[in-house]
Amino acid sequence: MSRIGAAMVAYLKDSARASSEGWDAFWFRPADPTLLGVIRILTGLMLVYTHAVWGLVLPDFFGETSWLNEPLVRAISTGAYRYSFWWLVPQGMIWPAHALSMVILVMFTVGFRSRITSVLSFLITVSYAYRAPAATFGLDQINAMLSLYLSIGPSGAALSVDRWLARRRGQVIGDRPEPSASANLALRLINVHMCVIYLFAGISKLQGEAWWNGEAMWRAFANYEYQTFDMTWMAWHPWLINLATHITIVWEISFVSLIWRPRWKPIVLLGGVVMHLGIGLCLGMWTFGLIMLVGCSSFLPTDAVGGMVAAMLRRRPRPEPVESPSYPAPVSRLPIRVEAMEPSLAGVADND
Amino acid sequence: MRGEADSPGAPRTPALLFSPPVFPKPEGNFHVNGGDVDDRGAPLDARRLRGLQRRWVRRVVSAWLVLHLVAIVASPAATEPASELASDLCGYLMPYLGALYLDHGYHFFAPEPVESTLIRYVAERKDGTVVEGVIPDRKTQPRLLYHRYFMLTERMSEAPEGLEELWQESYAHRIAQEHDAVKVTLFERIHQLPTMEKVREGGRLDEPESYDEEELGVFE
Repeated sequence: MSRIGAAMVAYLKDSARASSEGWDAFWFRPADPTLLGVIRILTGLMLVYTHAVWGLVLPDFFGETSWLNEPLVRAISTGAYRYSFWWLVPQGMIWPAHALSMVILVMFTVGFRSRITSVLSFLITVSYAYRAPAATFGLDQINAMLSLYLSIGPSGAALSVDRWLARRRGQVIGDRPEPSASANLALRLINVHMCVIYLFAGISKLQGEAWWNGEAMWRAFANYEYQTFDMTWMAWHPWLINLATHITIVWEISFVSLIWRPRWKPIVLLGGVVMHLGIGLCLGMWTFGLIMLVGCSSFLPTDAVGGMVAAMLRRRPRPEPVESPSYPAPVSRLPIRVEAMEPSLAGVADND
Repeated sequence: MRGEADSPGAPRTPALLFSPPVFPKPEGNFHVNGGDVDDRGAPLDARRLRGLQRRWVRRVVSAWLVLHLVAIVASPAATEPASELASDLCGYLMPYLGALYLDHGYHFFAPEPVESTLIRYVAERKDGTVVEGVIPDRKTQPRLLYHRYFMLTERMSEAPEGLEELWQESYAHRIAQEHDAVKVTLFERIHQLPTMEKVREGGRLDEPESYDEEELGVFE
């Protein structure tokens, strides 16, 4: 009995140790921040576009007599812990406030003062969404989710003005940015959140009869208010409708497990590209489809993306580092050996 | 969440775009005491560990991660129909979820795609002229702006009990302002979805008889 007990204790100890190491490796293993930089640029472009479109109707949604007036929004937001800087902006200042927000979003996109502008971009995104809560949809949720995680990781460590300035000051050496545990953390948070989104998007559909009888995709295509591309020809091909319906729900529900399988990952991501571009083409929700694909891009292997981007940037002539009396000569601040920054792609495994 | 390449002896493949995930082996490449590697397999210098490479920082962040993961799952799990556990958990975490704009259900097109709700309005000016319109207007560009208006009408149809009137008043007030009107009448238009059979018989998606209309009220 004591031998069985000892074996069980050993098993539990071993499991706990392995889980702890797996957890640490999953969340904290230093990773190349280039992919995070790519996601910052793509998310930033979407934030700039989204808020530029708000600018077309700024008084209609953020002015005194907006579609959603203050008493209504306050009532909708009761008990929901919501905030928005728009409640603090005087009526005559909505345009300057919007212009300042746009400047910050552009700064974030190009990676200038990224640590600050990433946090501000998140707060701006949330403030617009909470001021006009009944005019938001999935796009705003993903915009905010991505900007939140980009503010956690070093999203300006690569492909940014910040890095360019650091290079000019001689503070950066090598083609590739320093691997960072917080870059991995941010990418993993996006990974896991995307899994949660697809899982609940999928299992919530199981309550609907149309997702079982195969008609759901028809109901989406036949919705005149969504339609941008005539798909009514599919009425003559009900099996095709059924197939699209079943594949959609299987893809969404299985995403959470298959995306972590190396052999399945390309297929799952390809399915995501087809589905989201299809949503853009047929339902006119280009912005939502594209931002979901930006989220999906977080599953690309960090090392391979970093290597590819570095190889592309190497082709361009780069200014020589300028030595300034106020700065020491270029010294590696990296916790790893400098020669390790120049790996050949072959033989180096990525972290995905 | 461990990949196939985690298994001992798995071949190390070149870092192609979709190369397999490589977590540290069970023996642990990711220890702060000498064996750490980054995503390129390069060892970390234990003497120069910073931030998240320090064990105590990782423990604190891990505690937050547990909270965060519970929160992002609790929010969609609490979307109706939901268990009491999920609802209560979401309620406790609402300050966190609300502050980070994470209180979402992600129930896209669920439980199933349904008919659209639109608003038709009739706005009367002081001089007796009348302006009529439908929200959303399919001519609205860019498309993102069209979706903003579409969400306005869809959300009004899902207004919580007790908020319907406030909601309608807000829209009516805006329409009156836009058209310099003194009286606005709102109608809710439900656009029924055609069946495949109906389309095969020659039906169109915008058949006038596919709209059901109901007056919401007159606002002066």
